Amino acid sequence: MLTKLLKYEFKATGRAFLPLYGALLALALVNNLLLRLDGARFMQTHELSRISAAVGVMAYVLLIMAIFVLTLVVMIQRFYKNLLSEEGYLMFTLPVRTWQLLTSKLIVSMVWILLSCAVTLLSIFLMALGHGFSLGDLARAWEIFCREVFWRLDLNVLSILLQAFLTGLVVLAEFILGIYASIAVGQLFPKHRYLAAFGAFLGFGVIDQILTLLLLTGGGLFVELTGLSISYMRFFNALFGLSTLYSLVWAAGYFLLTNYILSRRLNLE
Amino acid sequence: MEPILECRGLEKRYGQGVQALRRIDLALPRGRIVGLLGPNGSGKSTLMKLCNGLLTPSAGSLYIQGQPVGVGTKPLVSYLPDRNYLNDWMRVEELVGFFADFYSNFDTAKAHEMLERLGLNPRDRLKTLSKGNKEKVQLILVMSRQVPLYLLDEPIGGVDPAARDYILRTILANYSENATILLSTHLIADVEKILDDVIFLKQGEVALSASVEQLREERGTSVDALFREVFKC
Repeated sequence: MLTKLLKYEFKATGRAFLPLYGALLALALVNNLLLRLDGARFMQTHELSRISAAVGVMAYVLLIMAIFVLTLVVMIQRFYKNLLSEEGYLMFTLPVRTWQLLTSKLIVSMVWILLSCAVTLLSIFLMALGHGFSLGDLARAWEIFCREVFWRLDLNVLSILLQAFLTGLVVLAEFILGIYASIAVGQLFPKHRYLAAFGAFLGFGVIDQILTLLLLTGGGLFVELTGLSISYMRFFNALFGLSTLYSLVWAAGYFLLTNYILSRRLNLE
Repeated sequence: MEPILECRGLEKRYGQGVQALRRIDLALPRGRIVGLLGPNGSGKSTLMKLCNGLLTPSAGSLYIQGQPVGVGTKPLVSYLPDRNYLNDWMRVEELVGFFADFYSNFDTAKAHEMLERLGLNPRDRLKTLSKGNKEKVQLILVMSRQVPLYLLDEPIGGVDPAARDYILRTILANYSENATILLSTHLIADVEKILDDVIFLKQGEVALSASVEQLREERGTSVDALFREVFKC
């Protein structure tokens, strides 16, 4: 059932994203050409090429902003509209469990956020290629970065990158589930759904901030008092490990809360 | 035989003060067409939403085929809500596919046959259809499932009288002997002829629950006339 839910969730959201991704990549190519024209010697004094290149780049930046706003809007709207407004009458009468509905929404939101980032990066390469920039340059820059940062501090590059990616995924899931939980809490207050959802979001945020601060201070004190001396690699392992664990606890809490409200306290309008 | 739908002391309050349903005790047997009748705001839709788990009861309990309402009862109930609840960007045939995908008791061939009879094009997107045609699509999807309990909230409210007759005939033709249909409506005269039983809801309480035959014999009136009498303003 989860696979079927995922299939329809991708279908419903892909309609919005795929055309924008296509437009962004196409615009990046157009900009690449416009910048070429602008850079060509015989065109250098030509106002028109200058203006069109500027307009192209501006449109490109706006499009990237639009994609990220859309990602956020779709994430909230798919949850609210598809589950808690009229479409909820369909979704909650399907023979699926609430956690499956939640999981399908979460996975699809995460995939679109990651894809939006990937497509944006790809479009930057497409635009920059040939303008004093090549993939070889990128590889060289990466090597310098590794030498100066990772090797100097005696860090395992692959391990750090993997850990950072994993932590990023968990933090992303925590963020999305936090929004879901806030919306779910909001619907416990039928007269003030939006206000309550917003309040819940702020409330969760404040608790999160306070806890983070306490943990960081506590961790710092611990290192200070024990005179603990560890290698950079160990430091990063501990940092990523603990923050992943911390976000995982929050994500699980949000998930369980949302699941509880939607399965035991559901009251659709 | 075990009732298909059973409510015990069912209550629903919205916020403070608004009591939508009070102490409803009901048991619907199998194989009946039951009219759930009452004026606006009498709690008909609330009752149906509770049976589908879209609302949480304030008190009391609800069983479908002996099971408490939950994921286990969803395959047993085919529900037509009183609103448009389908994704309107989908084509009619995609919606048929959606239902077939999720409900193992959905009959795709039957759905297409009914679409054709009512002159609906499966290639059309739902949002391009008129209000009445959207309702027809919803009803077709709901009636194409083979389940023991159909809950139809205002199934004929928005469609023209000609389609109304076809829909009522469709309802009659499509449910199996053992299935029960609970349908709510204000259009009593139109449905009276197909009803076996009636339940009158008045301000969240069951004002009357009887078989149509019994009403005719004992009181000598039609359901429509009795409704006007009970709910006289």
